[in-house]
Amino acid sequence: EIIYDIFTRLPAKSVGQFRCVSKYWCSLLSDPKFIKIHLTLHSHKHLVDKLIVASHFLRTITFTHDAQGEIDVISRKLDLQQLSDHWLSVDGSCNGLVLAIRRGEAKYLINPTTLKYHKIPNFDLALPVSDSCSMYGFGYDVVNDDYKVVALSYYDIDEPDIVDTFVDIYSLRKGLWKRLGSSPYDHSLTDPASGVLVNGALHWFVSKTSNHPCVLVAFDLSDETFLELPVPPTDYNYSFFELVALRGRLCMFTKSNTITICLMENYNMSWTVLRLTVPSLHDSLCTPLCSMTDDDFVMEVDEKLVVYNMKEDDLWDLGVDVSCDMHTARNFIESLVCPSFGNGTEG
Amino acid sequence: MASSTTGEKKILTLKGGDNEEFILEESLVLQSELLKNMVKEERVSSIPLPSIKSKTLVKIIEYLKKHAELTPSNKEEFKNFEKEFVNVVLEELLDITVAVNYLKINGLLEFCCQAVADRIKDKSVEAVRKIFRIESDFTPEEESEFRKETPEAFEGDLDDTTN
Repeated sequence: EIIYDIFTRLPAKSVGQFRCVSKYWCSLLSDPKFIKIHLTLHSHKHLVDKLIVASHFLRTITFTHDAQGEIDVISRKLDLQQLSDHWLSVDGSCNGLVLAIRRGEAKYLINPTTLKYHKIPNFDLALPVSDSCSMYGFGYDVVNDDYKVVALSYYDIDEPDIVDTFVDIYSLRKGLWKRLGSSPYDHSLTDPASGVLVNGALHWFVSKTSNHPCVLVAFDLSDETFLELPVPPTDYNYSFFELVALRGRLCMFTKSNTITICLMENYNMSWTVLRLTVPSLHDSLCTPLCSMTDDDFVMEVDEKLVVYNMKEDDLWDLGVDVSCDMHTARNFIESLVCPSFGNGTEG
Repeated sequence: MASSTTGEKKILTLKGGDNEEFILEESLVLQSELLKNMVKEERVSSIPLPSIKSKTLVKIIEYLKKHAELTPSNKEEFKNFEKEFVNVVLEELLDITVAVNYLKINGLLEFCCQAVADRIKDKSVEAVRKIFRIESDFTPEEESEFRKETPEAFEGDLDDTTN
């Protein structure tokens, strides 16, 4: 039916509204097959103009371009009713779903567009929260058509008996956690950071052994193994770098007097290294957040959002104050993907 | 019109819903998968299309002609033409889209579907029901339940017109 072709091209918000048109439309627009086609059609557009950030509340930040090329920024509190507050961080984003952590390490998968959510159960083998440190990652496993949360945890008490980092995986399809085993790497020497999703794998900087330099690893969500990736030669220790995904490209970012950006194009293991001297940013801390086009990126600088255009070496302020820790900000797309398998539309 | 084909041009007649006849070069209709198969397999010279209004057929033939003239140098012009092409009242756009779907003109179909989607995305639920001539089969209780769950769907800033 032609109507199907039209619906798959509608933004997720409109689809949600038009479910109320009739019972037939409701079942058509809630069908998992429809949701998948809708996702495929919209995800390849790489419209990363939405951010979500945790600052007690969850907040979405939307960038819209008007006809004159001006950028409007709208910040909105996510209304999850009884779950609205006590959010600590957003640790992953994939296909319109985000992984967010609430007080007491309670983990939720949320679709900020449909406001459906799923509480991830606690894992009975998880290390005690007070004595350990955990890093998370979230992504889609293409082979098994499954969404997975990965938790890397280690004891952070003085002289622990167990120095291993445990790799635990939650499968959304099964609704279960499993312990994969110990990571072959030492994850406790780099700053805790959530995994950066590119190309079906989560990326972290790790150490091989205590006195070994840092390496970049990818954890493949389908075969559940770590793989070491080559890194570009730079003047800095890799532990100074922050990882971020910009429009589906893995990016290493660091800032001292200059900003150094290493971009991996098309995931082909070769890097483009850019060094940017932006005098006005000399004394500022910068956090890269997302890209709106292939040539720019949005950063948080001194609690303000700025866009830097690499091609034109141009920096401008978006005129938005963000008084929260943007380190846990993630970009996300609007999708209809349900944060739980099985029970179709219920959150 | 300049054409690089050698020999005689084949002529084909399309008959619209109100029996109006359109005579055009056969090469033009090959953009339609449906007509291409009819022409190739049955070697017909006249094709009745009773389900398509003449007004709609005129528009589609206009598109086929423009598309056949598309070259790398007039791409911009074609884009503007496409924009104007879908700049008609919604009811007419839907007629065109349904006809294009029936005729299987793939490139145009995608363009039309996107155009319809862009036009209806900010419409209210009520307006969409009118546009697609759908009666709500929800009971008043179910509907008020829905209104509670997705309040934006019934918000006032949506477009209630059906054009």
